[in-house]
Amino acid sequence: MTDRFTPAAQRIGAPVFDLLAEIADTQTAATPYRAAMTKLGGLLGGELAGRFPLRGSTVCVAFTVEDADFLARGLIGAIEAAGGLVNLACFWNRRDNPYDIDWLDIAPIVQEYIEPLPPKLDHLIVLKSIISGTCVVRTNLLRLLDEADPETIHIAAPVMLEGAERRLAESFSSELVASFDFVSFAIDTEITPEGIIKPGIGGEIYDRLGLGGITKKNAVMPALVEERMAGSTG
Amino acid sequence: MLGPIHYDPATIERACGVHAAAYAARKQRGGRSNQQGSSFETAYAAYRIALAGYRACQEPEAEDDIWFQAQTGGFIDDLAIVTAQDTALAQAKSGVVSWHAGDHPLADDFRLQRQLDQEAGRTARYELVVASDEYAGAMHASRPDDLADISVTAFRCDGKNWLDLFVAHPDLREALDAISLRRPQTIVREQTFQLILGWWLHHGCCGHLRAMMLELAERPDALVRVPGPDYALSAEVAAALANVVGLVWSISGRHFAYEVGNLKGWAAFLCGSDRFQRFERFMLEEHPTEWKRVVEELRTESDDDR
Repeated sequence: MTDRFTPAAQRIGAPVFDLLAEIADTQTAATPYRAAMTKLGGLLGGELAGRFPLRGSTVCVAFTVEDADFLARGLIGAIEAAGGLVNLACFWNRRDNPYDIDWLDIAPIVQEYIEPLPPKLDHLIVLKSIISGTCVVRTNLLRLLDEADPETIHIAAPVMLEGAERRLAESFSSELVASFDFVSFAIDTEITPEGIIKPGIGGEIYDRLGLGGITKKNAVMPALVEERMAGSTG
Repeated sequence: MLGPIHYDPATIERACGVHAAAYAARKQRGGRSNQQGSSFETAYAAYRIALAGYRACQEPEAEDDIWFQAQTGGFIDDLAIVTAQDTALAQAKSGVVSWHAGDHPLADDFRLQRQLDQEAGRTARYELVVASDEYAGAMHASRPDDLADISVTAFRCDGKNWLDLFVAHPDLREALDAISLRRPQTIVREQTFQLILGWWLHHGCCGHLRAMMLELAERPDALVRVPGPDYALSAEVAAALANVVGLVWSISGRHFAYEVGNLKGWAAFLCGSDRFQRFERFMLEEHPTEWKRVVEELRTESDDDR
């Protein structure tokens, strides 16, 4: 089991091992699960801040609705603490296999909150609680690349499925892939026929966080987005 | 509406002989499964369907009674595009191609198809589709004299990377942008193309343009718009929406779009549906003024999701 941890996780040690164990445990209730995700976000943000000088840098943090109030909030706190100037992009994706064709996996954005991006974007962080297939990450990244030309693109998740980096890289030009930086704490190799990674994050993220199912989460308005909208009067 | 075409074995035998009829029958046995993934041929079909859909969206009076079909039973059968005026038949070749090589040379396939169409009384145009400009130039220059009326076109596609395809074919990019109800975006373009491809494979590589547009526009992901009038919201509901602080809304076809500052979205259901009627009742009975309540209502697909 210990060989699932990345060098970044090994550097941090027990705190990250314990948090990964907590989210992998299917008995962990929603409230401590949310807290663990928030802390993992903070550790991911700390890892990024340790690797890149962020003070005064423009940073866009992109995430999906389910991660907003937990993983993303934790990461944003760490990036801002390191002096990064953060803009948010929150996406509500509707996963689908049109016509039940298994290779036709799409995740159209049905709602988005994107704060105006600066003319020069130093860092784009695409954050997700777990990355296995690359459909959602690719969708949201392509959406933002229509708006900005970031210097570095960080793909960050506490847990990734082995090969996720390669699969994502295959779907972009080599020039863009050269700007990719992957950050994770664990790489898992086992995936069930239903697409659940073991041990991963202990199942389907929406259920674990107590947000309901894959369609219900798209009616959720994260407090983080509400706060930002109130702060900027929209 | 136009419908499927099929060259029956008796007509093929009468026009082209018994050996050619047996060959045509063998060609039809291949078929393809939805799960095999996309191919040069299916991507080309999706490309042509997108272009036809573009014309239907751009020009209200444009022809949308167009039938698309692969595997017609004839000799040139990767794609048939049938309109009231004529039929266009295409053969698509992704690799190295020659007019004369092999047991069944490509040139002979076109000759047999022409004989067959004459026998069937069908007015047809023929097209050879290849994967590069280089191949297209070479095949055009080496056309046999009796096949000089066959057009040779390049479809620069590897069957996998749609982003490269959109760069290679700006006409496709423009078509997909017009078919979608959203403003031009790379990912929307790709998803719209994938939906067309999925529709084509799901329906056994045959179907009607108008039916496709209607079917894709009915989907809840708000990607494809359908030509036609926008849903008319009642003055009462419009007035109730005007009371929601910061909310800006619009309707395209049957899709309801909204914005609140930097938040943009599409209703999880179509205007005119039962669910939309419940939304209209919600607006009239609850008179909400907070955008959050209205957006949550618009994003709730069904009562099961409450």
